[in-house]
Amino acid sequence: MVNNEIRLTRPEFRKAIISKNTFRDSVFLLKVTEEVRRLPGVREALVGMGTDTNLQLIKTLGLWGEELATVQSNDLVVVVGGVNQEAVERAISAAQSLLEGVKEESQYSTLEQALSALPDPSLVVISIPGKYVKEVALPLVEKGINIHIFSDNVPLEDEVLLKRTASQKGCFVLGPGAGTVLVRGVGTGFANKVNPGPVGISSASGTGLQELSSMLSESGTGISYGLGVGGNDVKDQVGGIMMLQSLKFLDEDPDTTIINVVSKVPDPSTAEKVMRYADGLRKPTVVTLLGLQGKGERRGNVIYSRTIHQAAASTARLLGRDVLSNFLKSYHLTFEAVKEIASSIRVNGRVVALLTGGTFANEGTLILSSAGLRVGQDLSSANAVIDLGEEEYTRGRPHPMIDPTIRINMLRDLAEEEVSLVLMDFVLGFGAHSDPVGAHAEAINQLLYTNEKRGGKVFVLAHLCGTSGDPQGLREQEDKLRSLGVTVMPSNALTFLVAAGAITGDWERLRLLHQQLVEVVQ
Amino acid sequence: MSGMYALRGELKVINVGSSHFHDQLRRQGVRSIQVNWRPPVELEDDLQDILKEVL
Repeated sequence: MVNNEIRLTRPEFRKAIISKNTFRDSVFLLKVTEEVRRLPGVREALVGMGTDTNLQLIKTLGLWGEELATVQSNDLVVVVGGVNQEAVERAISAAQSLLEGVKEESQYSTLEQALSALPDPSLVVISIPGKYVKEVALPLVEKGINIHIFSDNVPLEDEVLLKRTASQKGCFVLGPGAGTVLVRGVGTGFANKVNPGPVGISSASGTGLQELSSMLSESGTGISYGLGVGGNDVKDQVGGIMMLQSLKFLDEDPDTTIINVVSKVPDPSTAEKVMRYADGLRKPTVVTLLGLQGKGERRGNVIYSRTIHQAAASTARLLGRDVLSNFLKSYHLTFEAVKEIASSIRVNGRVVALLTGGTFANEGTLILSSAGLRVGQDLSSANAVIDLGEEEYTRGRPHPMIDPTIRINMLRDLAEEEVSLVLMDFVLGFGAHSDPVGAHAEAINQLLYTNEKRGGKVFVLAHLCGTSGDPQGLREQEDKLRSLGVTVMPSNALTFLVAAGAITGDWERLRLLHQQLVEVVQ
Repeated sequence: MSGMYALRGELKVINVGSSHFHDQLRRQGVRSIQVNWRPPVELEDDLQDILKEVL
């Protein structure tokens, strides 16, 4: 959880403005916050909806005042702290003008107006609070229009209704909670700049799709479609409706020659259903259902892999010697290399993973558990793997891939504790923060420096999910991490294998896990 | 092409909600239009009670 303490560096001058029942989306509000923070004389600022997460953050930033005690989640709050009252007043006025916004030609107030301007969209992307999604999406689905629902917190019964209707109408409902959709080189939501190519991916795992598509694109191949169906699709209440439909689509698609399925831990009956369906596909298929036991293996036309890393390696092998060789050079580490990095890390305090990718947290927890380690899911546990995309950290705030505030605050809190190893992910691409490593640089420095001053040493292991075509620049971000003293790992699975080795020192077990979880399946 | 097969043709997007995604699509050269969605007005409970009595 976010630290409850009020920061001592409270700005002397502050002002808050509350607009009752005024909604603006969280990403827009983050942009306004960032602009206001940059104004002269401003120490701290927050422009956001009055959710619990934001009110807590206002306290952490030292901006709390009693007038905020009655604020509700549908109220808009502007709060600024500065060096003098004049600077604060100026910043409040600036925030109000920014909130008025500028209207572009291609912007509409209602969906009906938009549909008059563009009557045959191939996709409607929806990112609004979950409880309103059904009333916007259902009329579209009834017309057979494909939708990508980025929003979380859509009631499960609404998801089932939308997906059953879509199945009857022969269109897609991708999501809810689908971070990424790729259509022949174009991404909606969070997506990396990947080359178009022969691999089609059906995914119930947003960052799984990003990692797999990025690794394959960087290895010299590409993606036809990446169809994110949302994590709940593989729950038994939904029963994989859209995962099966997307597999049918990919099996029929002339541009797709190899199929991949990637999923966070599915419910058992749905896992069975997906595996049976994959068995009947005509094209070679690589299936990664996280949580499946045993080692990666081939059964007929289907390869079952245990991690995203192994899925990318095995797909690369199916695509031929060049792609496999590129993959191995860019992403793979032998057991000996993993052992060498793990041996250099001394663990005598806490181990904490602060992750923005839900699948990375899911996969990492499973790898540590395979090594016999138990971890918690929040900072109250000694060792923890924290998914910062979970609702408790994102209510009324943008996803942590866009907004690093919560993770930066956690790093600052960890700097005061006995921590040995911190694991992080940095996700690049369209939709993500413009410089995620740069945004964390000061907090990482503080973590490393504060511990060193106490005579301790913290190791930071990080992995980047991205491509050289991403707007942030993969190499630039890597260089920044290295210059901070962070060890850069090629994939999430290898990051957690190193962590498992560093914690347990059980090299025999690590050798076995390396073979089971990341080696190419022949 | 209609239904799911519409994804095989030119990508034309209506973005409802966060304009961030509209901007990102534009950056990728995709035809996208933006709907600045606002939640429906929810009447306070007491106002609804009064309306029920009046109507």
